[in-house]
Amino acid sequence: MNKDTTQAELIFQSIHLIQKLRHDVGQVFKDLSDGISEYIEEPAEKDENDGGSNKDVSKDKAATQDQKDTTGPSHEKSEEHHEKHRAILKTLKKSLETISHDFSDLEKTGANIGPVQMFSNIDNLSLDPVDKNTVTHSQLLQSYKWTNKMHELSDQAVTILGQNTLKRTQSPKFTNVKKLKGNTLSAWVAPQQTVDQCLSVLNQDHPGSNFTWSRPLGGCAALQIEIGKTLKAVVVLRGLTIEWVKIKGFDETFKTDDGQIDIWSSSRYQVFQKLTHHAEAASLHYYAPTKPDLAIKSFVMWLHGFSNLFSVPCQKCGKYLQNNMPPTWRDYRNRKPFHDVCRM
Amino acid sequence: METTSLAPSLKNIAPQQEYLLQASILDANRDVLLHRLRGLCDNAESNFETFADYEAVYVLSFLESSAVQQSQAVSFRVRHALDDPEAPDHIRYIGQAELGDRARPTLVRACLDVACSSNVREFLQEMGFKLDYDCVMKGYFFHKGRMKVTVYKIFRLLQPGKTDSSNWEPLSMSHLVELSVVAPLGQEQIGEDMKNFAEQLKPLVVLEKFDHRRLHN
Amino acid sequence: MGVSCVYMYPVPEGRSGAHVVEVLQKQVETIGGVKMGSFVVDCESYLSIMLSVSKTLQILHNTEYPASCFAVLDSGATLVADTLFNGLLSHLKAYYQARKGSKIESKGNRYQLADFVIKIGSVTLSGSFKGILVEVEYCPSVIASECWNLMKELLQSLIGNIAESPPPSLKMKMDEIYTPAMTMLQYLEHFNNFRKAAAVSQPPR
Repeated sequence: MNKDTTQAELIFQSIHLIQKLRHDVGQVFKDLSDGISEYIEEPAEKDENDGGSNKDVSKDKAATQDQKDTTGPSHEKSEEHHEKHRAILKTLKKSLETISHDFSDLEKTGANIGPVQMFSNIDNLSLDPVDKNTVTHSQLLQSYKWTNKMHELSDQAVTILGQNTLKRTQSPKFTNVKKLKGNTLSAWVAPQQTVDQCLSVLNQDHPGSNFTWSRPLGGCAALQIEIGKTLKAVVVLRGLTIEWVKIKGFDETFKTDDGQIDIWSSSRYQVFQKLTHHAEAASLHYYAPTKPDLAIKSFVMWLHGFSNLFSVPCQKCGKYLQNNMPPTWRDYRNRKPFHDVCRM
Repeated sequence: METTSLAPSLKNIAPQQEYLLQASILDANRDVLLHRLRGLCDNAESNFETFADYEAVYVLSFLESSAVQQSQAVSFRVRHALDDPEAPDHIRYIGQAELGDRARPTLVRACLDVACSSNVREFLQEMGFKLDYDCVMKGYFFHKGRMKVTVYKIFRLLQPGKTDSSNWEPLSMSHLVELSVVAPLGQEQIGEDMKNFAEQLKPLVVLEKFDHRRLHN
Repeated sequence: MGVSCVYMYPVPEGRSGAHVVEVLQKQVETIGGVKMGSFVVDCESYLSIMLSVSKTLQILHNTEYPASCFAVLDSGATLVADTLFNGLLSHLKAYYQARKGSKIESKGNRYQLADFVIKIGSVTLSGSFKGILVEVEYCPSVIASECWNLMKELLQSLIGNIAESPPPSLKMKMDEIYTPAMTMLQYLEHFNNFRKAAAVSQPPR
């Protein structure tokens, strides 16, 4: 700390000295120019010179001028010259002496200043002040354009989404509050008994499938469906609305090592990863907020269509395999099997 | 997967040895011992760990029962947890107690544990093994570091093979206490550790090394 | 774990086994198979001595299940155990002894194709080449009868009409949940055939 402050003081001092030096040097040049011009112009504009004596000259010079005035024009010219020369030289000598004095002072202080410590790359920035070499500016410009564009597009999206009446999100930003009040039968607030009842009915309706459900976090039911010996699915229900679907193979598990239910991890098999995508799409397709029990019923029925995942050929191409995958798509209406690429 | 990696793992099975001390305690005093052990062993804060195993011992021997060949008889103990249906069955081979040095603090014998599928009983019988005897062991399990302490009661099965508890008959009025460590060959200092641990249980139980061959005679 | 089918692929007269294996490997790569390491399935026979009835115990290992050991008796009874089971066998020396020159193995590359695993192994019996075994496994399914048609489609594109019907040892168990032991039984059946063929061509002295 102390070192820093003395350092700063030294720098301040040297700046001061430099200023002084500059001033002195400037003075020398001024004197030089004045002296010579006076000398050259003297014969032609002597009178004018007398009147225009407001020039900033040293006292010695003024004295010579006074002397010159008293002596009168065109008289003792050479002597005057000599006098002037001497005066000029004298001033110069004096000024140069001050300069050398100041300079040695500056040198002394300068020697005491230690090298400035480099703190970061920021210090180097000053070494390369050329803007062209850094890309920051163009990048900033680019991101500014992007943000503008994004803002514009999201504004448009809000207007379009605002016209849509079927909403899964309850945010008041997207949903008209009045409409929400009118629609109190909301599928996601179904009481647990209703959900349990609905699921038991489903269990009875689908022999060959095994339904188990638990509520690890209270409200939402995590439903596990085993379809034949083909696949296992986990379906997370909020009330009776399907929130999350994941499908795995029969030999895989939805349990973590410590026995907790694991709804996040994906199947290690490509077939079931594909099925998960299709099931997610189906959960949206069958979404019916006014008739939630029907929605889940149709979804489970559709899912049940996968019980013959490996044993039926595609309806369109008649083959079992396409891209080394079985028919992973089931039609929403008649549950006929198709390959992913054959369904158009 | 490197294919050559399979071969060495099959050939070089590090021989394991069991270091064993045994004792028994009357049923009435069992709880005192359990609390003492709970304080001494790891996981003191959790409840007692219990176990219930069905053990069947299978013997393979020559038909001609000459004394020399009888000593070559091989017996496998097949265990199966009654309280955990998920756990695999396992075969345990236990060798004769090593004679070695009398000053050794514990009994030392070869030991090999192999987990296997549940058809092991039928499989062994098909290989020529005969069922020698079977029993159920039920009790408590503690561990301290790699030392294992079991306090259990042995039940005879009234009808062989039937493992439901109505078929059990206690063999005695006491519990068997075992302190054991299974470790690779040549780790003699374990015996000392075990002896020190056994000291802490005195005078409740006095864990000692028993030579089972002497019991037979 | 999934359903596996193992087939013997014949080596035509005048062709070398290595060449046929190479052709098969090219074919798998053409249909999109990606090489994922290699594999070994090995088998050793143990014969019972001095028991009233002579018995054979076959011990198999598979790199696909590196911690397991499969023991098979004449009846087909299969015990799946830790690899430590080999240690138990060393204690049974007085009763079961390894038959010399019985060590047979199938060794080769392992390919992954979507959810299929394809293994092309060349079989060697005590060091000499005997033939080729092709294994195709469909991992997502556990019931052979469900996915047989689907597997047949892939198998036929690879090895043709050899895969007309399911492997004989699998036929009885098409509706059961598939276990790795079933794969090992298929390998054992092929290994026994190779051994028999070798015994016929080279009668023991």
